[in-house]
Amino acid sequence: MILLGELALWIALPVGIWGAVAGFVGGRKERGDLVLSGEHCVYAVFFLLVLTSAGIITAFVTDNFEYWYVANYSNRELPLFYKVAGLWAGQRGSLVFWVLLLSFFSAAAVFTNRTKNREFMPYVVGVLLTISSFFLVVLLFADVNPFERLPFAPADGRGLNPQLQNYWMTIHPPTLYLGFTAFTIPFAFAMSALLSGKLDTRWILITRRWILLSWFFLANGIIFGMRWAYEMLGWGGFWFWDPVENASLLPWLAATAFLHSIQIQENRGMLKVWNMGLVTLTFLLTIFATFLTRSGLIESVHTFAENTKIAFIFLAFMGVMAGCSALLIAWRYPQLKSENQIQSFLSRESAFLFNNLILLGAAFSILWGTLFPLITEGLTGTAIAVGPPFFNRVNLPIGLALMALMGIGPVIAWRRASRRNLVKNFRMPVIVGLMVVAALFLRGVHHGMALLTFGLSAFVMTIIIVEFVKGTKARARIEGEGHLLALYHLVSRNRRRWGGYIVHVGVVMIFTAFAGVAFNRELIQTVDPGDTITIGSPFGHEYTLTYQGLSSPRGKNMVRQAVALMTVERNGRPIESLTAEKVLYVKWESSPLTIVGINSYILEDLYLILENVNDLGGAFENEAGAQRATFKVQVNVLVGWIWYGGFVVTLGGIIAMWPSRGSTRTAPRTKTGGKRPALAARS
Amino acid sequence: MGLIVGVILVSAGVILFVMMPVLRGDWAVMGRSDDEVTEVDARKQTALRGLRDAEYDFRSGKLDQADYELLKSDLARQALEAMEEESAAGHLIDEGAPPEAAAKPAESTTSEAEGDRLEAEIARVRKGMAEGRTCSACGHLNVKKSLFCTGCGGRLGEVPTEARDAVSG
Repeated sequence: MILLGELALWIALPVGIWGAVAGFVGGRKERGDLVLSGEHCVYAVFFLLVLTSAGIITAFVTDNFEYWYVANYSNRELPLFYKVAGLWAGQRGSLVFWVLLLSFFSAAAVFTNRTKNREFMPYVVGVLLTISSFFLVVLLFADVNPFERLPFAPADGRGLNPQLQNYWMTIHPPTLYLGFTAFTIPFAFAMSALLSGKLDTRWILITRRWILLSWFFLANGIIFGMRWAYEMLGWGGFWFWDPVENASLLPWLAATAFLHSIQIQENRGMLKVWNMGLVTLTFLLTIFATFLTRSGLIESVHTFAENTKIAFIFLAFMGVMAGCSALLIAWRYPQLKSENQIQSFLSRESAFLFNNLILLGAAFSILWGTLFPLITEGLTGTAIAVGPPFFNRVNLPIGLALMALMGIGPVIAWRRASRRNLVKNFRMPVIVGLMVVAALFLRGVHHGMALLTFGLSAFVMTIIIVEFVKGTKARARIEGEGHLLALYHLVSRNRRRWGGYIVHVGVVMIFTAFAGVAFNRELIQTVDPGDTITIGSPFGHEYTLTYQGLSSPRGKNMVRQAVALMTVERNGRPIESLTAEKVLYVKWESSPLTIVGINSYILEDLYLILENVNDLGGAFENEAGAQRATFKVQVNVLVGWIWYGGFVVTLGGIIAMWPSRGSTRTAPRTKTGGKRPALAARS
Repeated sequence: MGLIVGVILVSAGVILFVMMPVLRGDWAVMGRSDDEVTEVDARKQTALRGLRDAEYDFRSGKLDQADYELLKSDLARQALEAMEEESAAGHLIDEGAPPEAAAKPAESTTSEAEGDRLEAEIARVRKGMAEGRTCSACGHLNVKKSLFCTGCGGRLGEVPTEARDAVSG
C-alpha cells in the first residue's frame, strides 16, 4: 500500500499536467474531447491522492520508520489517533493533505457542474489542475517527498511534538485547510470568466456557496485554533498574534470583504475589477498562509517546516499567479467597467465599500506586522519583532469600526437612504447602546475601550433584533401567518441575508468577549499541600482554591506526568475541582508540556496553570517532599462567549449556505454531450 | 508480484480513464444548455430582486416615498430593458400574459408605458404564481402544467407567491 501510494504521487503529476493543458487547449479550441479528458484528470488526480494519503497513513500506522517523515513525526507508543493525524503533522504530509483536499473540492466542482455552467468548465479545470500540479511538483522535486527513505530503519521514531498531541490536532488543521482549499474554486471560476470573457455576474452566482463554504471553514478553523491555544499552550490566552495565526486570519479578512463586495456587483453591477482583484488576493493569501506555515520562513509555535527551499518556490508561484491574474484583469478591463455609480454616501453599497476598506486595512496591517521581522532582517541583518501590543493597538479601532458598520449596513437602504429615515432607524439602537454604557459605568466599569465595545455590541444587537422583529411582523400581517411561522419563512426565503445577520450576532458576541479581557484577574502563588489561593472575580464573588498535592500517573505515550489537584470553593461553597499538569512525552523528555485546568461558566472561566514544580523530578517519582508548586490562577472574563459566538457563527453560516429548494436541480435533464461532432460542424 | 500487478493495474486504469474521451471521440458539453440562466436572465433577476429589496426597505421605513418611487422607476427600467432583450431573443413566454399587456407595443418608451409594462409583467408573474407556474426560487415563468422549473430545476408549486417574498425580504 505504501509503495502504491508513492507511485500514485508520481502518476498524479503527469495526469495533472495533461489535464491542465487539456482544459486550457480544449477551452481555447472548443475541443470537447480534450475538455472531457481534463475533467477525467480531475477525478483521477483525486483518486491517486487518496492512494498517496492512504500510503502515508499506512506507513504511520505500521510504524514504518524506514520513511524519514514517519521517523520524524511518530513513535511506537503514539496513540493510533495521532498516527492517522500524522498525515498533516509535518511539512511533507501537510502539503499532500493540502493537495488532497484541493483535488477533492476540484472533483466536487467538476461533478456538480457536469451538466451546467459548461462554458466555464474548461478553464476551471485548467486552473485547478495547474494549482494541483504546482503542489505535486513541490512534493516530488523540492526535497519534501513524504516517501523519502532513510539509509536504515531506526528502531523507533522521534515522536510527535507534544503540543500536537491534543484532540484539536485532528480538528483544527483540517478545518483550516478545508477553508484554504475551498477558496480555490471561486478563484478558478473567476479566472475562467476572465479567460472566456463571460464577465457578467454568473461566475459569482455559481461560486457564491463555495465562497460561503470557504469562509465558514476558515472562521471555524480560526475559532478552533483559539480554543486549542487556550486549552493547550498554557499561557492563559487564546490569541498570540503568532505569524501562523495571523496567516490564517488574512484570507478570512479578505474573504469577508469579498463576501460583502460581491453583493454590490450582484445588486448594482459595480466593483467588477475590485471583485476580481479581491478573489485573487484572497486566493493568494490562502497560498501565503500555507506557505508561511510550511516554508519555515518565519519562526512560529506551529511552523512545522524542515526545508526552507520551498519558500522560494512558493514565492515564485504566488508571483506568477498574481502576475497572470493582473494581466487577465488588464486584458478584460474594458468589459469590467461598472454599470452604475454610487448614488449617495448614505447607501448600503457605500457602507459595504467602507467595510471592504476597513477589512483590507486590517489585513494589510497584520501582513505588515507579520512580515516586518523578515523585512528588517533582510535589510539590517537583525529581525525586529512586532508583538501583540502593535497588533492590538492597530486592530482595536479597526474592530470597533467594523462593529459599527455591522449595525449601520442592515439599516441603510441600497442606492440611497434619507437622513430622516436614518435618524428614525438609529434612534432606538443608539439609545440602547448609550443606556448599556451608562449602566455599566454606574456599576463601576470605567475601561474606555471596553465600554465602547459593549455599547457598540448593544447597538448592533438591537438593530439586528429590530430587523428580525420588523420583518416577522410585516410577514405575519400580510400573510396572516403566526409569528413563528412568519419568522421561519422570513429566514428561509432569503437565507443569505438572514443567515448573514445571525453570523453578525456571533461576531458581536466574539468581539464582546475580546473586550472582557480588560477585566481579567491573575494571581501567581507558590503553595504547599493544604495551602489556599484566593482570587476575586470582577463580578463580586470570590474563588478559594485549596492545593491537595501532586500525583504522578502515567498515560499512554507519556514518560511522566505530574498532576496537581485543587479543590475549589465559590464564596465558601464547594464547586468542581481543578487539575493542572506537567507532562513529559516519550521522545520529548527535555520539554515538559503544561496542561491547564478550566472551570467554565457563562460569564467567566476559572483558569489554573501549573507554572512550576520545585522538584519536578521528585514529583514525577511521587516523592512526598516534592510537592511545593507555583500556580497561576486566572479569572478570564467573558472568554466563553468566543466559543458561544463561534456556535452562532456556525449556525448563521449553515443557514446562509443551506441550498434553497429551487437551487437543487431535481428535474430530469437531457445529456447533450455525446460523440465528436463532424469537423465541418465544428468549423 | 502482487505489488507489480497492482501498480500496473492502477497505472493502466488511470491512463485509460484519462485518455478515453480523446481515443473514443467522446465530447463534453461545451455550451450553455437551454434551461440555464442567461446573462439577460441574470440582469432581469437582479432588477426584480432590487425591486423586492426596495419594497422591503420602503415598508420597513428605510426609504422615503420619493426615493422609493425614484428607485422603483430606475429598477423598472432595467427590468424592462432586460425583458425587451429577452423578448427579442425569443425567450419570453407570452402564454398567460394579460391581454392588455400583450397588446402594448414593445417599443413603448414613455415612462407611463414602461410603468404599465412593468405592472403587466408583475401581473403576469403573479398570475403565474397563482397557477403554480412561476418559480418562487428564481422567478422563471414556466409553461403550463410544468412540474419543475426550467430556470433552476426546482419543483414548482410548493411555496407561496413572490409577493410574499417581496415583503419577507
